[in-house]
Amino acid sequence: MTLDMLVLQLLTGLSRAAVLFIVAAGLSLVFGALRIVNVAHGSFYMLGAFLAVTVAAFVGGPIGFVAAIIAVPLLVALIGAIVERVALRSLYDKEHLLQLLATFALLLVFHDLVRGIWGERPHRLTAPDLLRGPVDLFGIIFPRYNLFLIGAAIVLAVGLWALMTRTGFGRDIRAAVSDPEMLGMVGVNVPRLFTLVFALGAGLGALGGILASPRSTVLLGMDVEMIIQAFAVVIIGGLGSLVGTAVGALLVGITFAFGVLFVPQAAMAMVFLVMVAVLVFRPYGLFGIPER
Amino acid sequence: MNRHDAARTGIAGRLSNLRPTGTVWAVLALIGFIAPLFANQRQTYVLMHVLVLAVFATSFNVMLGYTGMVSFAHGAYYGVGAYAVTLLWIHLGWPSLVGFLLAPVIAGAAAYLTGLVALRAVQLYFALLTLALGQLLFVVAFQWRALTRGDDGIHGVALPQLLMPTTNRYYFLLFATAVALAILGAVMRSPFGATLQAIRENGERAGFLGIKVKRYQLASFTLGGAFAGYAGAMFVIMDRGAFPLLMHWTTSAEPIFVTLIGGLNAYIGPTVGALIFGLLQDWITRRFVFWGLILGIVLLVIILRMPGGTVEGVQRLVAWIGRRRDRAPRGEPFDESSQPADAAERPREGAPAGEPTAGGER
Amino acid sequence: MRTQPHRRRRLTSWVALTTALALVLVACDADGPLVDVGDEDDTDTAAEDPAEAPEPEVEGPEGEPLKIGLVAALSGGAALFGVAAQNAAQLAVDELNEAGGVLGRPVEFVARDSQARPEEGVSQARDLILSEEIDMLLGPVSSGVALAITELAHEHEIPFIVHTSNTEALTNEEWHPYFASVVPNTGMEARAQGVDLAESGYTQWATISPDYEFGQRQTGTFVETITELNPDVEILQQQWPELGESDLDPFITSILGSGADAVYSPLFAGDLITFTRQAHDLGFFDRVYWTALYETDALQELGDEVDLEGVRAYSRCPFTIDTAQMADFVDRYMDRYDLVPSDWACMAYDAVMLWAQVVEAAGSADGQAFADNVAGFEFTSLRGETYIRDVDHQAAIGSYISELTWSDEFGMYIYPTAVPVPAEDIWLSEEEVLQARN
Repeated sequence: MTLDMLVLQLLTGLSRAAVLFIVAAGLSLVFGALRIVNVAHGSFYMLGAFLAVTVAAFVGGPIGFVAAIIAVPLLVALIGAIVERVALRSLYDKEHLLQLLATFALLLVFHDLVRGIWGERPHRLTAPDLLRGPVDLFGIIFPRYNLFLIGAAIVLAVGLWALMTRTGFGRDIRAAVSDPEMLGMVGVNVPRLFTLVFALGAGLGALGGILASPRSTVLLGMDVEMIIQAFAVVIIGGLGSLVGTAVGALLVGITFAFGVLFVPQAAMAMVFLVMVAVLVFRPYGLFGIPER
Repeated sequence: MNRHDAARTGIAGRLSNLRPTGTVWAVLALIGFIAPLFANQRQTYVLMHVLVLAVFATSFNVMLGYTGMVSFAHGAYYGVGAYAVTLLWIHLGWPSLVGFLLAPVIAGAAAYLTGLVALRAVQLYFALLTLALGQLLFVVAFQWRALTRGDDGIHGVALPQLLMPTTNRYYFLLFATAVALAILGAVMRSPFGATLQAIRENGERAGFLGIKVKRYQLASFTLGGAFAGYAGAMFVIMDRGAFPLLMHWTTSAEPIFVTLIGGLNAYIGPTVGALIFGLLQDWITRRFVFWGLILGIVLLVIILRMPGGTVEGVQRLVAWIGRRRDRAPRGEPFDESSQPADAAERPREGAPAGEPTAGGER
Repeated sequence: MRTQPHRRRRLTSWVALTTALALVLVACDADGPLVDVGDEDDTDTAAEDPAEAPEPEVEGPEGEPLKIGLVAALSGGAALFGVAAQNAAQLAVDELNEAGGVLGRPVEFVARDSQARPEEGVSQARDLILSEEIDMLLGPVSSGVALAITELAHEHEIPFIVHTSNTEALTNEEWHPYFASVVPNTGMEARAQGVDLAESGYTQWATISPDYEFGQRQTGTFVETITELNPDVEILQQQWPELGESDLDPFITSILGSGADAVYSPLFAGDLITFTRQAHDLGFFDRVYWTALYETDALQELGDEVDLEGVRAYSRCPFTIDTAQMADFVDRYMDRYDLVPSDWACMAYDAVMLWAQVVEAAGSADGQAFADNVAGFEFTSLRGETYIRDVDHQAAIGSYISELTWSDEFGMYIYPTAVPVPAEDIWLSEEEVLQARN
């Protein structure tokens, strides 16, 4: 086994981590501000992918993919906002469990809606030619699209960081994470903030779905497959922490990639083993804060 | 409170003069007993599934309704129970009935060990930890082909000749259900059960009173897990097989749905929920592919409007009818509780009122 | 909060009432028409059959219809297969009815979705047997599902013919007399490739296979065969991605890192398509020799996206097989569905026709009569004249291996010369089969 090969495996793990980060960031953000564990986040991921297929086909050509990347997250964010208003708003003063179950019910509803609209057959989302094919990185052959994914995740991470630390909106979110009652008292429109955060989270989920699609198949059931991995990421990193999400995504992605290399039969078990190991020592995740 | 005395004169009142719990269980048992006479083979399978679900969901409600804990590893213990029977049969050649008796022990042990880890956290984080641990068990079953045959599952488990006919199998499971529900019911009515409820109501206060909260929670988790394993073993008797999906986290959602539909505030809730869920699922999936859509909407309505589930919904209806009947003859003006929901929303002692429905009175 | 006992009593009594109502529901369901609703929903066949069946020139089929049931993955990643099998079986059934039915009786067709999950397959198959009272069960797509339901067919003595799922366990240890197969089993397929590739010049092999019964069996036999025939062959790495895994990159790079110069794979359908695309972007095809189960559906879906010219691929029933029956079938299938028939379609068609011919010959649709007559039965399949072997009811149908060639006519890569490795060269001898059963 050469160094080249280890680097290649690492890069593969990184591109897996990239998608995981984008999706899990939305999940973590929503939890941080709203204290909701959103199972329906997987639905936004799947919805994003399917809507992107439709939008890309409607617009056509290489611009179709770009159009989908811009329009679909906004559309799904809007759906997220509606969902928050209709289904979740009245549950904030209730037990966490009820919110979790409500989002679970939404997962079922969205799954069948997608099935009703797009049918059972797998669909395909094609990236523009510019992003396709292999590229030679100092002798390592790597998919150009995966490089794009890693880049997109870095840009997004920096953007989210700036949003959280450099804007009033971000300040409000951080305040909501530490003390929501205080926030209302100082005159912030908390319900509106919650709706916006939920919409942002949904949009990120959708973006993850779109970006993941050109590498694989747009398929019914991708919601459940992704949500469990996104959960693994945020549980390891600590719910509500952006840094934690990034670290969690890297751990999960890279553990899986090297798991495949060294213990092919138990790669996925490795991921959950890491998760359990982290939690045994830090029940609230690497960067999480103990529950209030 | 004379409103309630008056209600006794109505139809519901007359019914309620019968001896309560015993009557219901007797009716259920009678129905369970004669149902196969009306059902064909396929429907007998549906009824068997209802029985399995009833035990599975009741074991879950030991944690949810009585102790106030949500676990996403419950499906894993259900699967452990099922695999206990099938693996002992396939690798050691042990008869399935021996496996059936050992299944709750093995599943209980698995629940105890994972519970030790999971109970390092509380509430949501506890739920997420159980999700992680349950998935770990699932992945082991899925990927350890030499032991479990992986994704293909194990099928065609040998049963005693007596249990081969569907009807016999049904009666066996009916008996097994009765035993499980009786044991769990007795435990929940015992001082142990009362302590669990005290912890659910207010864990901190229970701690001040000298109750070792974690220890009781672990006991509840283990008990729930053991009976989930028992339900898993029942599944093997019904289906003659086991497969990894039984342990998947989405399987853990099933008893939650069933409990919510039936009502988590009453011991009988999960059983009622299993009956409704099982029959509805069969009825709908045979006619309409969008079962998830319907289930999702039903659940949303229950969560948003009727957190007490069917049992409490029926109860509210009765209270409402009672009050209307009440009002007419006496000509009393509607009093402070003109909201029909009001009366029913108050939790009852003896039947658990789960945290999730807490009306803010605690 | 004090207890209000009478309220609890009311609660419980109302629960009793609810339950009683539920019982009524069950009872009604029992008396009600169970059968018709189910199949009308699941396929459009019930609606189509009467319309197409009645007025043939020949004497119209009369009497109690015979029923064929199909349990297959009609959704999810393997849906391509299931839907193809459903289409072809429907075509076969319609043709049977036009020709006067089977034993003069009309034939009906009912399809159910297994979602490629063994447990769902079992429950659907049980339902078909118990409430639809089918006379023949067509095999599923997944070998895992097939193993799960072959036991049911045995228990209820229902003829069970597999056309896609092909684990050798079905013809060996799990065999029963009501079973028959019109698809080369994993052993035959993998031995054909082992023989074909043993002297290919490549000795450093890796494998990547779906992690379930079919993948395990086929890969196991391939490795056994090729290492036995050529002692120089080494297996450097074996990967087992989960069925439906969407991100195969780590598996692909891991294989590239193993130093293997050739890769064998029984991935199929959605997984094979995903693999081909992702592997292409990693420069995989330029660096290793590659052989896989490229069947018509996958080739159709891939089009010219990836250069597969000259890839030595294997298949079970390519539509380019040179028989009159196949040419005719391709025309009829394309007329109706506007698609070239995939391997799965061809084989499902053969399965229905085999059953019809056996039933006609036996003069009865009874399970036992089928079991007695299918052994040694000679029939004309789309793949030419063949017969069913006594010992395991396996059709003597070979495995097709060929180098893929681009076809402008079809807009896809095809098998230009579809000549099979004869079944007699690659199946286990009767003694070996009997030995495997013990």
